[in-house]
Amino acid sequence: MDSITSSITRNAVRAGFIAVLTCVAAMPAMPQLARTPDGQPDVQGFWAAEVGGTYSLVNPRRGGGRLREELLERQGKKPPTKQSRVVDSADGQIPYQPWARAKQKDIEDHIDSPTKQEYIDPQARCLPDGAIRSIFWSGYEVLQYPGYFVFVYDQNHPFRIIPLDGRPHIPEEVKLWMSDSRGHWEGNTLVVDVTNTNSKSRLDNEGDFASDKVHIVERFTFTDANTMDYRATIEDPSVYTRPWTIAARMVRAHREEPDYEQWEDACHEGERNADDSFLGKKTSPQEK
Amino acid sequence: MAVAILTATVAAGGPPDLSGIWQVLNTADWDVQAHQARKDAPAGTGVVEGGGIPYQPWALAKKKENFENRATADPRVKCDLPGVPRINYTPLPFQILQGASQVKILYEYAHGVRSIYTNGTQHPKGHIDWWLGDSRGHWEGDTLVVDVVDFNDQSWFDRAGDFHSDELHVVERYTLADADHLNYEVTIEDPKVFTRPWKMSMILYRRKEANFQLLEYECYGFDYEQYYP
Amino acid sequence: MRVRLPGLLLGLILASVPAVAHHSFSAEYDVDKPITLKGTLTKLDWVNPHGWIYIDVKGEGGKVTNWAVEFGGPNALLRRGVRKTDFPVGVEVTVQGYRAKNGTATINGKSVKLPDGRDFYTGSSGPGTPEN
Repeated sequence: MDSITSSITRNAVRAGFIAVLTCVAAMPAMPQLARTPDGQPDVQGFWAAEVGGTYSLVNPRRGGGRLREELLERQGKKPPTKQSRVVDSADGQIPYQPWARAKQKDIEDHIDSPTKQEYIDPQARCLPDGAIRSIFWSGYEVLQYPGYFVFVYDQNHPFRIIPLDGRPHIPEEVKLWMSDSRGHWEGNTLVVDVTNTNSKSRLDNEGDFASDKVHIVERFTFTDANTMDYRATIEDPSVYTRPWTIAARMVRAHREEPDYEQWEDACHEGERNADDSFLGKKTSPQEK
Repeated sequence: MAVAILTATVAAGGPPDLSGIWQVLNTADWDVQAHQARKDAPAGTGVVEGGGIPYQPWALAKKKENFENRATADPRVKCDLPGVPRINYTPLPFQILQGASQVKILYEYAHGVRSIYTNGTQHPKGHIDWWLGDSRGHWEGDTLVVDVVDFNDQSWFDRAGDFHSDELHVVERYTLADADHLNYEVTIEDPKVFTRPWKMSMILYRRKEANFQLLEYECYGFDYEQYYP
Repeated sequence: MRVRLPGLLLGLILASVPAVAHHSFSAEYDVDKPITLKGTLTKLDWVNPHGWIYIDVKGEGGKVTNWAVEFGGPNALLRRGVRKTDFPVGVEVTVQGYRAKNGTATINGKSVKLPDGRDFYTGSSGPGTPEN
């Protein structure tokens, strides 16, 4: 499943991308990270994606970018291209089967004028985003305890409690928003096997999705105390033509705020009914 | 700034480790006071010390009104975060993860999270309207004492309509009775609603099944799941 | 490889983390319908995921409409030590924002100016939010 060398020979030429690949492929002598009492590399604290935002996987942009791009286009200016988070294909696209691509396109076409509940992004209802989307949507706190690696996300606070003791997954009948995860360390890389995903959340705002049979393997490689390279390989033969890989860099957050604390960020309690906001009578002429 | 993990045990001279998955076996979530069985609740002898909740007269009338409307008015019906201490006595498990500078409690109920800072920091300047308040803890011998303020006035203590204002002040005390039982005592203070502080006490039981873990109860999503196959 | 700390985005609500898009701006609000309102503050709802302020605006013939103005989650304000009580009910405010597509008296607020010149906040973050 190691697609690093094949990606390089496939010539996906984006400067920053090659730099990241080179860092990972070259695998310099593993930095000596501090250890937790149970022997894990100690990476606790606050982290965030270097390029955040979950509007799109193949064309990620910081929040606010899409409208600005529309305005640029109206002025006849070309918006800057963004580096796809999908790293194992020359075109940076997700390898959907044709029916799945059509479904994703349909959702994408209705982002600004949803006409039925199915078009409303589950995130707008404050439903948990799932393992992959959560890591790009908000910063998060990493906590480690004997036998556990824990993520608690800053926004809405979904969490992932990842046992490291090699226990089996829960029965497949139990599907979860945030999946069921089992982890182990390989040097400075935390490898996490992710199953039992209900796949009711989207992978991004544009409608990228998986089925509830999806199997994900994540690798969190801590290249030094403040930097982590995230890779996730997604496998779902009922939706995609082959497995595919997301890669992104994560960095420590709030380094200049040593007193930073995670504060409550409740969501659905204060949210309006999404049906009213999105499906209510519209005055805009863009109704489809 | 790496945060060291607390692994000190009583034997090593540090505070006891409360980590683990815990759950109540009482009926407080339905009614914290003594009550017989009814259509929407099993019977219970109550968890309130001294018997009754000392409501001010206006508040007692409000509680009765809440009780009449409980089937729809209980914020738990909407899957709202149930406040403190109720989030500790819903019929769902929660996991205590004890570190050196904070105790994190993660709840199966609607992915609730409480961060109990034990690093000597103070509450932020008030008032803040939070569902689960702001928690600052310290050890008194073998007891974790947690001071909680900054609540909104939206949550109830139980299905029976017992309620509070945003001046609620909660003090929790967690003490291991033995390896698998936590004595949990809560003092409730709210000068807008009650005539004096009052206390609840109950036992938290450790979940001991092999490989036990939290699952999910994302109750506010149940009605929408049909739209996302 | 330079690490661009998200802290450089100070000036936006929720500044110290990457885009905290909660839902699509354009699905609810119309960037082609900017609006400015002057009114008195009647209520503040400092909740997540976005807070609300409510203002009474006098229309023609003295008719008063209560407008709902959405702003980004209050945590960024809270972290700066700002509290709900710093903004008294009854104060006159000038609000700029974008109208809701569903035709109700609802705005996604871009700025709320108080008589003393303070600007209350910087607007809701979401995918497609106009950055000001």
